[in-house]
Amino acid sequence: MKPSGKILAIVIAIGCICLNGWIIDTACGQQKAPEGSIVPKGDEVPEWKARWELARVLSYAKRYGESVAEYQKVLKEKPDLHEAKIEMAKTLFWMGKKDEALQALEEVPVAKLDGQARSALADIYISQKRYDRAEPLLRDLVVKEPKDHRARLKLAELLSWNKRYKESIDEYEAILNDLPDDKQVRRKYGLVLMWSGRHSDAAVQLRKTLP
Amino acid sequence: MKARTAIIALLCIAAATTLAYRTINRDWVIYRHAEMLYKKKEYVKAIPYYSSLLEKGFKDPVALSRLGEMYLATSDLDKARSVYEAMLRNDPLNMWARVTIADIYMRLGKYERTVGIYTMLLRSRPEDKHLHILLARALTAKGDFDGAISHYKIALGEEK
Repeated sequence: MKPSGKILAIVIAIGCICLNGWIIDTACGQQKAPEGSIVPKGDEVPEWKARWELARVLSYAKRYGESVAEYQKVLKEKPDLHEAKIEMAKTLFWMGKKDEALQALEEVPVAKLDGQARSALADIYISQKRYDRAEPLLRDLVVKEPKDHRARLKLAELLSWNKRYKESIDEYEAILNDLPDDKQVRRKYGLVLMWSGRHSDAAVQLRKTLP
Repeated sequence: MKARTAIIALLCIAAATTLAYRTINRDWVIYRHAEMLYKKKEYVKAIPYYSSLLEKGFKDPVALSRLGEMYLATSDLDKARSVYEAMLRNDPLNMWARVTIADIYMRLGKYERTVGIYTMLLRSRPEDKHLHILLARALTAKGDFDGAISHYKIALGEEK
């Protein structure tokens, strides 16, 4: 064996010996438990987020005025926080401040609105007789959730007010297919049948709602 | 000839010490393997190694905290709870473990217990804003909105 080979073999052998035992334990072995502060840094909540949570809880407690004030502070700092704006709009809606709710909701792209916000926005448009604005919102709701009978009923009513009786009747029939015992819906259905000129069908439906 | 004998002897010693280390320090070998899996975030594979070590009485706080952390990461909340309870039995002053177990109770829907822990911690740390927020969240979940509002306001410096 050449001298360089011998040296290499000796170095490898010594290395193997040294890598075992206490050197490994010292380098990779027992460690101290993570010291961590009481709240890890990554979990700290920024002020705007704490305020947002406060705004929510105030609305749960039905302290709507205070809730809206906190939402406004949050939105002053984070004007693009659509979720907070939607929540504030819902709170305004529950307070009966429909115009302010509408203004807040219209600042949010429709795609960002959740079902509850779309429903609230549709209600506001309906109260203002802006049916053309309400209809697509309600259609979106029933497409996404076909069993959302409240949204479908609003859509059926809206269509009937627009004298689009055939479409309205289709929506009523879809509801009654799922809720055949709902007398209130059936009465509304009967009225639309009557308005559309189907008087005998209307009479049959209305008779079904009587004891 | 002498050199060759010396090399063979050294290689034998190396093999013998390797074997001896793996036999005598078997737990540490397993531990390091578990640590390697943990660092690769292969938690499901790592958990049995840590738990077998701890069952055998391997005393290392890191192993225990790793196990708790991995049970949390894999959403095994009941097992995570027992690990953190064990950590607190070993070290009752471990605030980090106490905050974590409060969070586990919260996730398990045991809001009363969560509220109890945060309330107790706040006695010694009344200025800790984040603790006030955590307590406010627990109170919200419990349905105590007025209590929650008060603690949010303290956290925001708007109430004392």
